[in-house]
Amino acid sequence: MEIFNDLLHSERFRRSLSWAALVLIIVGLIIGTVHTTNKVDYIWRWEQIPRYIFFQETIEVTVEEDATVTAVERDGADTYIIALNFLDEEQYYTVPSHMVSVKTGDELQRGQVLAEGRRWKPGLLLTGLILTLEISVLSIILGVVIGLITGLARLSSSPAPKWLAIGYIELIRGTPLLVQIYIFYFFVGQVFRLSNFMAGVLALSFFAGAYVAEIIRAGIQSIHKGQMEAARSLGMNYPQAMRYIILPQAFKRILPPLAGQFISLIKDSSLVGVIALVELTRAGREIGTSTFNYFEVFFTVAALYLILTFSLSMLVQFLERRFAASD
Amino acid sequence: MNSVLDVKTLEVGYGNGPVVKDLSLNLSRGAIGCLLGPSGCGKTTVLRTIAGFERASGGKISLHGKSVDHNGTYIPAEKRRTGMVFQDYALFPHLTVRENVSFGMRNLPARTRTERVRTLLDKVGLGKLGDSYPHELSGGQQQRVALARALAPQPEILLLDEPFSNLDVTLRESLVHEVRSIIKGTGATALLVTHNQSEAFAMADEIGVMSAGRLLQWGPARDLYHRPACREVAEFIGKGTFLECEALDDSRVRTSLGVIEGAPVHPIKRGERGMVLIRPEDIVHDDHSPFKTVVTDRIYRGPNILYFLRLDSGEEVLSLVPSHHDHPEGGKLGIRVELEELVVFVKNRSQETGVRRQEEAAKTAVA
Repeated sequence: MEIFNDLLHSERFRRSLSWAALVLIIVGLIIGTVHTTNKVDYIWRWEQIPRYIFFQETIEVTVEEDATVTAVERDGADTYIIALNFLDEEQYYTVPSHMVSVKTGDELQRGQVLAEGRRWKPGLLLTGLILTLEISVLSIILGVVIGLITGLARLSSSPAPKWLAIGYIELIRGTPLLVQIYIFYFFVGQVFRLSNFMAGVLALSFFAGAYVAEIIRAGIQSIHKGQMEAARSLGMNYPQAMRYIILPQAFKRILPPLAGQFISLIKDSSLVGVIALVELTRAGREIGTSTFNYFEVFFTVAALYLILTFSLSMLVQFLERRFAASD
Repeated sequence: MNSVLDVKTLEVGYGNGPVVKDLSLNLSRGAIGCLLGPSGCGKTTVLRTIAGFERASGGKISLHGKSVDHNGTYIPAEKRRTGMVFQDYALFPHLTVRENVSFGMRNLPARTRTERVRTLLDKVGLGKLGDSYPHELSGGQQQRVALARALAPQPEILLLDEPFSNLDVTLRESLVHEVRSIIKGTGATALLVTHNQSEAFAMADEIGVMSAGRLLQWGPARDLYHRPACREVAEFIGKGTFLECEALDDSRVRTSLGVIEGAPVHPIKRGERGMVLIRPEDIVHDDHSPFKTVVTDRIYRGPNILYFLRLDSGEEVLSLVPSHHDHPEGGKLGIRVELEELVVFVKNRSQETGVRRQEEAAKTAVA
């Protein structure tokens, strides 16, 4: 009994017990998932997923009418061939650049093959991922700029910048992001003639900016006021002291909450699907509606989001460790 | 015009409770001044107002003959050319020691700056630590970096806010001495703020005693100790007790320890009653003295012993004697008084007289 008691209270035994529990829970989850899907009679078709990341396109371009080539215009991976038929009507053919075999002045005959072969193209999930990445990176950069300006304005002692900043922050934090996206698309976008991409990026930037502003304000306020005074007594004015003394120190402290905000932003970018931007989530939904592979598609979508957010976490951890040199 | 700092009738704070009231002081080139007082007396506020971190609500501050805070004219901190050493040093944690020190000299050419940083770091004994970060240094080293950083731009005046309070006692004593010689070596004018008397005495040429926002007395340490302007100064500086007395003429008073004679610090008239200041070293042991006292308490302090002695009148005096004069508690001791300056505060005359006289002295000094 005594021995049993000792064993029960030993740190090593408790840790092993905890590890065993962890393994058991994970195995249980996997078995549970498999069991549940078996019950709903779902047929897994994972083999269909890769084609939505990369797929092979079959290319066969044939000449429809006899014509003379008048121009060959290269535009990245594609090249446009413009030709005139005997009625001087223009004809367009799009050919992969590496397959172009004609030049200006060549005669084309009906049925002639301009290009034939296969080439790899990014699938819907990959283009969605790239769009998500573009939107996120742009919104993060813009959001930091907006947040920095607003954060500094929020700390200003003069009423105009201070109250404008407070108003903006409260407005953004008090309304749903989805509503803000609609407003940016339907109202701001109409007024300023923005593309839906710009409307989406701006909506996310202003949304993130409000939160970043509060993070930056807290960061600046957490720096002891002696730092500002020391800089001032050494001949720096307020903006210089901010730039060289306060912000570098504050930035180091706000890196973790800032990273959290950026990760949120990547995830929130899934909402801009509603304004016809086929980002990752929207891409998943479109594939799902046409193939009914909802399970596999959204598991893949989730994994792709995880790759983005996890890389960002890693980057931030790396930065934190580098800045830690002067702590 | 040799005056570097001139403060006239300074008032800081608004409404019913100004933190600093009617404060005047003057520092000439190369002098080290000190504001001494208990915490909350407003001494740090004075320093911060001179530095430009607080604004005066009345009076005038001039640095090097130029008014920096007077009637709405307010020169911001960064344009006052003051060097400040903060209580917690406020070193920039993200910059190396060298970068910290050269920070205030950004307008100088790079070569001059490097040269000056090296000279300063050598002067404060940190020549080899230029590439360290502040957190890698000990408290005393950080303190010296702060001093070098403040001295680097060759400020008109160096302001030190409780610079030694974060150091342990042994380090403090050696550093006080060192800091004084560094400051004197650069010829800088300095104003120090502290609540610690021995620091003030060791560092400063002139000391101002502050209480409740007012400057009670401004002068060299010896004057504060032996010629206190008012009872508050007498009680705050050094140890000592007061005995009831009656003036016999302008240099003698009668007390329960007999007639005491000395050069009067404040004028007294025959027949006036008051209190005379007795310092512990004014009490001399004399077995033949008719005045016997009882030892009520004693504090052994190594080289000497501080005795608390009760007179027949019930009054108490202190006596400081070398520690080989060992008397037990409850023992009887014969004493007499031997003093040079006779410090008597006459009853019914308010303590303000001392303050007013002090201010008049300050005004004539300025003129």
